[in-house]
Amino acid sequence: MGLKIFYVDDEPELCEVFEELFSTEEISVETFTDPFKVLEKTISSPPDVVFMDYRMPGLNGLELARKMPVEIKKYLISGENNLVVDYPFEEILYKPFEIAHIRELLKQFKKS
Amino acid sequence: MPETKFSNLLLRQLKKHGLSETELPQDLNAWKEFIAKINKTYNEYDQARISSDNVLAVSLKEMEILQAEKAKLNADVLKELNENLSLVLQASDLGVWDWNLDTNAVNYDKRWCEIIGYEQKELEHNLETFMKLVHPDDIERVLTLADNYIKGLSPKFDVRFQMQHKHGEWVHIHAKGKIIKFDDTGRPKRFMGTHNDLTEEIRNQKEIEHHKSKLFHQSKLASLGEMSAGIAHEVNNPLAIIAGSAELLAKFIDRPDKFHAKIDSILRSCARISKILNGLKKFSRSAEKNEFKLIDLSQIIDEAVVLTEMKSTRASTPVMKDCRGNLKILCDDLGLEQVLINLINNGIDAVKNNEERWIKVTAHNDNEMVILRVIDSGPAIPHELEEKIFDPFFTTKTVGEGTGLGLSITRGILDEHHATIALNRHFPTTCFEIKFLSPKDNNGA
Repeated sequence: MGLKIFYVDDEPELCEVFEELFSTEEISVETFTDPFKVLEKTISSPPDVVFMDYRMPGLNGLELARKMPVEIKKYLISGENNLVVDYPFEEILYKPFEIAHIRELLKQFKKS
Repeated sequence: MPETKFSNLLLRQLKKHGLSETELPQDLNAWKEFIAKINKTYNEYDQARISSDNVLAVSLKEMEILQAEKAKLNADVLKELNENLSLVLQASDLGVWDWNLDTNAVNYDKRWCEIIGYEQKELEHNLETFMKLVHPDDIERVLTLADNYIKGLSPKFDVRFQMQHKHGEWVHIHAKGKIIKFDDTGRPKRFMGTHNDLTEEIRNQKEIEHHKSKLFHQSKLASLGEMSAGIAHEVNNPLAIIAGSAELLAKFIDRPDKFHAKIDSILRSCARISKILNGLKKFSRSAEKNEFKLIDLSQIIDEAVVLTEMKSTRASTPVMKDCRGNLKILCDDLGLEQVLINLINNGIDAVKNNEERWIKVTAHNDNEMVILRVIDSGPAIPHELEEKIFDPFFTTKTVGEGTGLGLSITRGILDEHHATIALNRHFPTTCFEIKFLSPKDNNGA
């Protein structure tokens, strides 16, 4: 069974790039520009991993993470530097994110 | 005919006293009586004369005393007046000059000399002294003004100029004067007036200007600080798109449509970054005195909206723009940009806890005026705050959020544009309204 990941960012172009970069035959990438939409989808059809932008209108990455089920692995992708958050994200990634690093992460998920 | 025959001698004497022999007594007794009568009259007259002499003497003496007293009184009054005058002059720090127009002798008082660092005795009290000490760029103007006043061509003598201090520096003087004496033909004889030392005042003014410009810069930095949190986000996003797209170029090398789409994407993101950085560069530049140029207000609004976009997006508060008609005004574009950024930022903060959040920036041309409004969805500002909001350091924001300088700086910038800012109470929500004169009216300002 393939890996299912969500990417949520209010920047549509970045969503597109993310999908094109990381979706493969084994990895399905679904993107969202609206944090509330991704919440709905997470409940109806939960993913394995969610990558979420921090700064989004209406609901920031931290608030979104808190509303999601604990067992889903979450990565925060932040545009600003030195973000301090009190939520146990797997990791905080900073934009512009390292593509190779994310590829590495996804490889490990496939194994586990 | 008289019975008695008088001697010629007597007759001559009588005639001398205007008497005729017919009027005189005709016998010895009558003569005796006549003489007795004259003696009596004479004695009475003598008595009266002596007593009146005495009265006159006494009254003369008393008059003298009275006069002396009066003179003394006058002198006292005069002395007091003089003292008061010199106290007033001392208190007012005014120097006094007194110019004799016939001789061009000018008396300069102690303070007059002191203002330019001299003692009274060090200076020659004539017009040349004044002409020597006034700044060469000023002297002609000052003398012309004085001349015009003396000739009656201008109603008053009131002039500012610089004089050289004994130590070399230039002292700012405000002089006023009045003709106080004319001769019988109405020709001015005496011209008198004061010197006021404005040097300190002008120095203070300059200091205030300096502080104002510093304050302006600080407020810009504060707005900049507020924006900088968003800047990283705003730059890092397109950077991520560039990095991702560049990586994808290899993947799409055989798919020209996708390949070109990625190249476009990269170029667009680069443009986005440079637009933000340009806006910032322009904004943070310390502008001491900006040039006034004829600029379309709509353009300035666009730039301000771009510069506040990060904040407005974060706060989910859309900023809408509505511009109509000819909006060209003579302005300092950076200053106005700062005004708009301040007002938009304030609006965003003001509505952050409201359900309905939006900002509208509108501009239109109305009767030789350009009217700019920044309207937000928040409730109207209470009347009691209306006066205070333009005061420096007045803020309703929590500590660390606002400097309280935004609106006072805003008003300062608008003053330089001869523009007014006020709350427009006809709107149900908060509306700041700024009125500019159209360029043709503004030219003369």
